[in-house]
Amino acid sequence: MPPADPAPAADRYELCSRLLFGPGTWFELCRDAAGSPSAIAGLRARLAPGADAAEAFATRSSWPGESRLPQTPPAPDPGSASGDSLLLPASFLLPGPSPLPESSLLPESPAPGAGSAWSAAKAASDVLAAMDGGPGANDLLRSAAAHWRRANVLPTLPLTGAGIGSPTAPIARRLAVLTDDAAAADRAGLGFLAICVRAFARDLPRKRREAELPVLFDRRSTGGHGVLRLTLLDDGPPGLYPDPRSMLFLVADRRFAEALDTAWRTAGPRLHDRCVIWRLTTDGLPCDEIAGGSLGAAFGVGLADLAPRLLRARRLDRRCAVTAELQPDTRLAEAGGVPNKLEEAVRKRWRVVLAPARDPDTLPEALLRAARVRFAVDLAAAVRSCRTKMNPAFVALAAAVLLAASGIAGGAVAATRESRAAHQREIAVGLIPAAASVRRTDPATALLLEALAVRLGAPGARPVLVQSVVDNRFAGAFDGFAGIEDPCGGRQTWSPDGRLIASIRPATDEVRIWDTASRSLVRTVAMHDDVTGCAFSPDGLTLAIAVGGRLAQLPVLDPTSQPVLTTVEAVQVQFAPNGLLAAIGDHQPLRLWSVTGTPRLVGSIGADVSEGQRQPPVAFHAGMMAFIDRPNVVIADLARLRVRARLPVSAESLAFSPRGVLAIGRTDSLTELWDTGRPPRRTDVLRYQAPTGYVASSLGFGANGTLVVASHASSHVWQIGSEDPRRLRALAPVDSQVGSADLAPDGRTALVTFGSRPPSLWRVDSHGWPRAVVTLPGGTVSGVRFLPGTTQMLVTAAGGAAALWDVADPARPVHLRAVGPREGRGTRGGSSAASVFSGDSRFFAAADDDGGAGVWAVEGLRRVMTVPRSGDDEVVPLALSADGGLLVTRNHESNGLQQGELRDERIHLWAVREGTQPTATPPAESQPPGTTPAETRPPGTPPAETRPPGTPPAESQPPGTPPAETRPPGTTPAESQPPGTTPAESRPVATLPAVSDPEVAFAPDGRLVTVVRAGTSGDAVATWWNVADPRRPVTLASRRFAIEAPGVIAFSSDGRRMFVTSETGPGVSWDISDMSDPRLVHSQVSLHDGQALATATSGNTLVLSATGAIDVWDMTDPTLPAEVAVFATDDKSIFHEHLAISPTGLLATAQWAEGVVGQYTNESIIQLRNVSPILTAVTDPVAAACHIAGHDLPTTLWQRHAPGITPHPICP
Amino acid sequence: MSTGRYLTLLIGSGPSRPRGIQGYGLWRRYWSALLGIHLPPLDAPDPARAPAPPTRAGFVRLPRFDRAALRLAASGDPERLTTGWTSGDRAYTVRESGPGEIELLVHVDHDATAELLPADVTTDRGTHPYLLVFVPDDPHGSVAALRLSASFLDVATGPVQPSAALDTADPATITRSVAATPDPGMSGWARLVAGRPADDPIARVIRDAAG
Repeated sequence: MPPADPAPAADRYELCSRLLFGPGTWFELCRDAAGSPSAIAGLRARLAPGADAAEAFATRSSWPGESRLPQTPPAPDPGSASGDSLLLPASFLLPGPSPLPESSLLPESPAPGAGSAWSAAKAASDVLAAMDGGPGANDLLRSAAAHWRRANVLPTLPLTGAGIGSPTAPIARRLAVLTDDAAAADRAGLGFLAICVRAFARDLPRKRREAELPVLFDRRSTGGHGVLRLTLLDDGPPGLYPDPRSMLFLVADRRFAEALDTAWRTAGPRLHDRCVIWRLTTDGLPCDEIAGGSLGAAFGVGLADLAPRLLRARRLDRRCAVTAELQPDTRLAEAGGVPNKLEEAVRKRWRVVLAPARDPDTLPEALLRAARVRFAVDLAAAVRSCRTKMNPAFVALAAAVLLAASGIAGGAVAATRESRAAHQREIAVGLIPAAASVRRTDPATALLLEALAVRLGAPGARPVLVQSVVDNRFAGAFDGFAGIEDPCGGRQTWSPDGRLIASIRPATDEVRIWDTASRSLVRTVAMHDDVTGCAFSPDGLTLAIAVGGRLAQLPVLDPTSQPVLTTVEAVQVQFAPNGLLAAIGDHQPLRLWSVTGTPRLVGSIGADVSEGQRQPPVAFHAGMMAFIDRPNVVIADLARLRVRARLPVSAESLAFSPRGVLAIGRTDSLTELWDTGRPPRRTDVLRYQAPTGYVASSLGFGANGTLVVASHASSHVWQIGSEDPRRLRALAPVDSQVGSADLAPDGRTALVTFGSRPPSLWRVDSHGWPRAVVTLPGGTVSGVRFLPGTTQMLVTAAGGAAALWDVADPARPVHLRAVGPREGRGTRGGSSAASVFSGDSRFFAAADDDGGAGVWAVEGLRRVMTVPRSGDDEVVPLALSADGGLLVTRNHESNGLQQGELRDERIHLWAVREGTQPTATPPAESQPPGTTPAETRPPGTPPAETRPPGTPPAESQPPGTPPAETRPPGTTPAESQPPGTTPAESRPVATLPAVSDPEVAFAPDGRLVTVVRAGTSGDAVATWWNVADPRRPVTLASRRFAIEAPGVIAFSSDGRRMFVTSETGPGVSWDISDMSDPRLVHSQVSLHDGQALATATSGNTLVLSATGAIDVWDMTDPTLPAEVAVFATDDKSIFHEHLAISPTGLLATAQWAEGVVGQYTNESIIQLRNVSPILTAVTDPVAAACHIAGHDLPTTLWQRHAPGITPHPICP
Repeated sequence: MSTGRYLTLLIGSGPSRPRGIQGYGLWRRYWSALLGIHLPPLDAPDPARAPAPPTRAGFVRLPRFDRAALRLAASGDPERLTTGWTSGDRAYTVRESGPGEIELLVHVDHDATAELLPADVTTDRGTHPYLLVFVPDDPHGSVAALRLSASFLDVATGPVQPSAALDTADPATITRSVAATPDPGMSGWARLVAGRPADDPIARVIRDAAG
């Protein structure tokens, strides 16, 4: 067929490029034509000589390794073509390629003179035609397989099978048959046909994994680059095949085929039953011609990377090319064209892996360095070299995953925590009301719930708990009481020291002894008969027990002792203070026995003494006794057992007060008070009546004139005395029915029994109102101080007087020593100036009666220094340093001032040297830079410009100093000093700027002096001085702050906080941990009432003395001070300026001795109070609550009140 | 931007790997992926820094054909890039022809099989002289072609010369030209070989260069 007008060359070239590289490649045309015989025929027609495709493919007709110079075409051999009518264009009949390897199935080389591109296109169309079936299908397949075998793009390894999917089952079966019959070398070609078929049928197996690596080419005069991508397919014929979608037209030389074969053979065994396809591209376009075996190593590396691995922390470096021939033993051999390839790698900024060069000198060192060449001797080394140090994507993804996981996990944890915290907060907030609701039924649980609220961080829970603990009068329950078990009844339920109580357990005929501190069972004594009464003897050694109607005596101190049964008949027992035992029978006379040794009847009295329900119907006081002899109460003389009076009262219980007042609990629950004089007279009736039918079951007098009355419904505390009886409060404000309230011997604690609950201990007074333990004579008290490390208390008084007390037993202080007027009680009407103490309490300074001041050593109470009066000015001590080495005084002008007038007062610093002669310490000659100039004028010396001309210097004749001639004859100035003292230096070591009415205090470190002076508009100025070098005080900071009339200054023990009280309103606290920047922490430390006179700190507790009251503040959170307790005195002795707290929690207060008169006479008393329960509550309120409750919060209560929170111990 | 595309841009993986990813650090990839900016390929040579082909008298210099620049200018997947110019009776076609290859076709409307067309070609690998041989193209014309591996092409063709000029040609130029001639053009070289004695060194050079 004569050729039609050929298309212009440009069109042929263009069409060829399109058919080879797209868009609209021959493969795509074949795929679109698959299954359509007409389309397939149309495609095949385009390959006919002179057709457009044939003409186009002619532009790429070379076969690798063949001369491209055309020769005279041989005569057409019709037999050489396949069965169809395809004829090769004469111009494309090129010399035949090199002989093919032995092929059993392909006896004839298909189209030996055809160009490579045309041949590939024809092979593809042959596969299409074969897919349609027909008689020549096998030949078509053979012809197609022959092309790719000839194209050297398949390994020569005998591959097995031509696996193909069901959609193309007929061609699959055909290929399988051909494969079975084919020689080993031809099977790869048939396998590729299987891939082609699936690709044409759009059924290419899915990609499982992919490897990609750059490759380098040698393009004769230059280098080239490309990308090799290997894809592991899910299924398909095992083997290494070119990707038919892009590699259809690739032709290569024999060495390339051998390289493929070697690469496939050296691939891991895991790949040998897998189908791997590859494609080679440059700039995204598939290569169509390649030669040489330098890609063998690249294929080997790619296949090694495709092999399944567990972790892929390192991947192939996409900027690392390997170019080397791969040998069957996996060793690498040098490839050709390395310089060109290296140049290309440098241009591409790739690094290169090479086989060791046979002649290293042929490679320029600069090129090797620029290409970052690494040499690998074998495939494994090449793989290692081609991999990244760490797969960036892997790392990035791992980091991202880790980050995401961390974020998610952290978020989840945070959300969980937040949720849990929110739940806890919600629970915690609800615990306070819950505690309030259960307090009347279960005070122990109420405390524990508040403690739990503190543990869970409920806002405001701590002050609530502290307040509860302080105010709480519930002191713990005897949870070990089982079933019906009652205390003995009456005061003698308690051992005389209050440490034990005894109870009766009728069900088991047992007497049990309990420890009141731990509320635990100490001992159980089996009595084997009905026990109806028991009582501790006055000496506490014996427990008298009424068992089976007789008296038994049990030695208490011997834990192994057994009760000794006597013949004394007794249903109830009670000891008289003189040791006689009152045995009460059943409607019999009251018999008194001496039970020391063999019981001996002393006497009897009465006729029908009724046994009491809860308390024995008898009470004793001094030489008097009272007992119930219904319908009367009989008062009798204990010694003579003679009735003194019969009181017509239907009584149920009796009690004598320490003053002899007889309280009679009536059967109608009222209580009468009788003066037991002659004749007895009823003085009062406590008009609190329980519901009808209830009796006043127990009575007891507490300390401070209180009376505890328990009916069968409630218990109350009454204040009795000179005034009308006043009901103070309920003793045990719980909902349970009260049976009795047996007071401890000290009258401060009651054992209260309830209807169905274990008995519990209740304090008659709360900790929040501590009663005075003892009252000491004070005199004109100017200060009080507990000496650290000792049990001693120092009380200073006017005129340099001092008294030392030992308060080891606060109830019985011992007067150790006194100096000064009135045996340490001070000059009557002397100076009211307060004494100041050194931080270590070894020294104190006080004003003397001469208007001067002195420093005393506490040890020996000896005076160590004197600061004389300065002219008209009195010298008032303001502060003493921690070690007593530095004294701060002010000059107080006492004369010539109008009332309310304030005048600036000079503040002097004096060096205190014990036992040394004074040495003149010159004042600072020059002020350090940046410091406030401190005055260096001598005290009392007016400024030079104010001194009248001609007036001699002040020091030559200090004002107020008596003239020498007025001195007693024969005395020297030194002799005027108190004996044993060291006169002060003639001048102070430094003088601070004068201010009016200053408050001065040393910080605990002794190097910091704080001066607070009142401003003029409701403010004050605090100035902190560093006096480490007393001669050169340096201003550290000065702050103005709002405060009404600043009061005294106190420091926390660690010196990091400073408190300035206010005389009229709120006080303030400063954070002075950074002295360069003191910060006002809080300004709401307010007094309960009135003027702050003094402060003392103990741990986190700040105690303020106001007029008439003591205020105790919890300063644990300095930004949120909480008032813990406010209490006043029990009498008219009003608190005033001086107080101190001992480390053991003893509060010593100075109080006006004669009421308001004391304010004019300065006469004071000293009272001691035990505030340790308050301090304990402030220190650790949870522990205090747990101690009261006696146990931790039970799990059941956790579940009830804190659902969703895992129970855990809250008690320390 | 979908997550998949974002990751593709970020890590430069996947079948639709974008241009300009390779060679950039992860940080720049991150920002370019985040902002949707295509980074220019690092491997693209800078045409401005490439030497221009020397221009001699009678030479026609064609505008530069830059594959990378044309690709960057293209908005999507490019068609096969082709540019054409006409100078006198010569029609020049420069086009991408395969992986990393650029073809230069010179068509004349007369029989030029007895002529040689010298050309100075500058690629990213330098400037080299070539000789283009014409083969019959259509009934009335001739075509000469070169196929070069290059990223860009600067071509300056000179006045045609008779085939006898081959005698004075540099053998390296002949070798380079034969290697760069596509298969259809090889018939022209075959004709030149056929017109020379069997032991002619030029013919041997041509044969050796043809493989």
